[in-house]
Amino acid sequence: MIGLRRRRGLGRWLAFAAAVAFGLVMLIPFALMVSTAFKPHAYVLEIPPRLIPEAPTLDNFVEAWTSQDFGRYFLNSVIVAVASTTIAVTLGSMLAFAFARYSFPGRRLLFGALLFTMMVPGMVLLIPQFVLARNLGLLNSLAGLIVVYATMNLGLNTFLLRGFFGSMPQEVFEAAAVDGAGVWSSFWLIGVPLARAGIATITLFSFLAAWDEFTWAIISLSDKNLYTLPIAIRSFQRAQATEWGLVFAASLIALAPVLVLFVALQKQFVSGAFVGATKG
Amino acid sequence: MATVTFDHVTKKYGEVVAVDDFTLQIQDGEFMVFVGPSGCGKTTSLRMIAGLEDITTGTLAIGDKVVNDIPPKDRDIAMVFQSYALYPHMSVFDNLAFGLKLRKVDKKEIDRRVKEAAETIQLTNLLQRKPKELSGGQRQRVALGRAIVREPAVFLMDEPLSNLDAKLRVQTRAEIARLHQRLKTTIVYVTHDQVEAMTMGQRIAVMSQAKLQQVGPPQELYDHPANKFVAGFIGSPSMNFLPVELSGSGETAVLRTDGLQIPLPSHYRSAVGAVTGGRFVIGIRPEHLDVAPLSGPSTTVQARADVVEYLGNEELLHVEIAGTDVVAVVSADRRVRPDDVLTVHLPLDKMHLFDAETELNLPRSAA
Repeated sequence: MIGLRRRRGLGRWLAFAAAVAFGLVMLIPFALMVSTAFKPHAYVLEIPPRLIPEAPTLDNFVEAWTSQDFGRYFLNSVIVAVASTTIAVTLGSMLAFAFARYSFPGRRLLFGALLFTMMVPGMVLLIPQFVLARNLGLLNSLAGLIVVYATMNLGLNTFLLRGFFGSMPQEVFEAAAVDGAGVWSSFWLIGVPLARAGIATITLFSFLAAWDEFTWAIISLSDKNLYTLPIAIRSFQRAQATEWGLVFAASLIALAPVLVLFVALQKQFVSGAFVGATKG
Repeated sequence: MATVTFDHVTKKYGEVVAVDDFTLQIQDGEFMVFVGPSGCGKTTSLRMIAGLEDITTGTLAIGDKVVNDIPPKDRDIAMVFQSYALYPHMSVFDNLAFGLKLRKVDKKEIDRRVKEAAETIQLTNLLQRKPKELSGGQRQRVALGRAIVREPAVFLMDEPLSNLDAKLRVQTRAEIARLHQRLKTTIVYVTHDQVEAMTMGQRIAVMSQAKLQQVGPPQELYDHPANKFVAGFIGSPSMNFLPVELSGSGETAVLRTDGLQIPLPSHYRSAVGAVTGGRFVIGIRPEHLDVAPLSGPSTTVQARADVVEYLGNEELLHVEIAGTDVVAVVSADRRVRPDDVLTVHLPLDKMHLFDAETELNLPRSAA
């Protein structure tokens, strides 16, 4: 009995040590990035590297923001990410609600087709996507980015939210139907509020995916005024001398909206949305 | 208020028949109870009235309007679900007001009706709470209130008391009965509990294996069950059944079983005919048996008390008669103890006789 307890204690310590090690692997690069962003250029590559800068400065942030029209790129990213997230979340939640709660001919086939879009690597689709965007006149425009980013996230959003809507008690929707709710009222007044946690999750995923996207943006945009943040940050890296302080400061600026969004949505990530709806 | 009319309604799920050729008219303002064991089709029938299940064949009308293809929201019905089915993200007030808001009722009117309903179901001080902050009984009352506030033509109730404890069930049962007396709205109430059915229903529709077995007032079902199923289902404890064989004819006809010979009551003579060897089933309610002489015509049998369940004012005696466990409800004054050898009196005038094959209750002649 004592031996078993001791083995369990040891196992717990090993798991804890592994978790700490994994956490450090994730945290150290981020800490170095933050630290470097506050270092003067001369101290960026010092050996050994210091975690706490000797003379912290905001120069990198000021330069990153003021050089190369960074503000415009930031705004472009905000427009593209907000618009594509809005479309992907709105359409995704409607599709998910329909797939989860209604039976109609071809439901399985359509859902399968939607899942298939998630299985094909994005790189494989670049050329057909480019041809299609060119034919639709969507190249070199923010609208082109918005459409592609929205559709890129639609499959995953639908898949995730379908699970949420599907797990809601059927009787609640039946009660709503008897109370006078049609399809739209059931979705908007019952489904959406109960799927808050799921909608918050897909909002964050969609925003992140659009905010960070680089490949399609660099391929489809030729007008410098339409560049988004990932392209702008990439431009701080040069063949001869990358200004790491600038790159990291720009990256931290780019991270700010994601953190704000996460904090804003945090209270939605709660379980137990259905408690009290039905018995048990 | 409205009538509800089932006209040869059948509901199939693939090859499985859930409701078979159901014909019934529920009167305006009537309290109708659908009762039967699990899977008999009672809830499916209720859900067809609500519009939550499609009808395979036949027609269903609410009032004079056939509603087969009318969605639930346009049927002017309100439903109380077995599992409450409250909107968990809304307060009690909003749960009650939801249906009225969807119907674009004036805000002041909503306020008035919600407060009135809350008063009726004694939830006035809980209006701002969310369902998760309520007890099971309070949630069920909210579900009731949500139906009341709508002032519908028909109330549908799907086993609304099954999740409540015994005490609360009795209280809520009385509340629903009072509600019906006050509102005089048509209520269709589903339960598998025959006590609930007997105490609440003006008429009861007994269902089994997708078919309507009998419909009538509680007393009629109790006194004149149409078949063995209804006889066994209605009444608690259940009716005792003894398989017997007819022997002899006319005044000497007797119903025989292992070690027991019961004279055929004269009012059954014409129904059984004179076929010696005909197989029947005698049905006697436990409360009609006694261990003391009865006032009417009776026969007696010796039996040993197997188990005695003391209930305070009465006792449930389990005795073995002709190889069958028979239950008798007798006064506690009889002071029967296990293993006592008793003379059990069987009343001939209260005895039912069922055809062993069709299980139909044989008609009594006037004589």
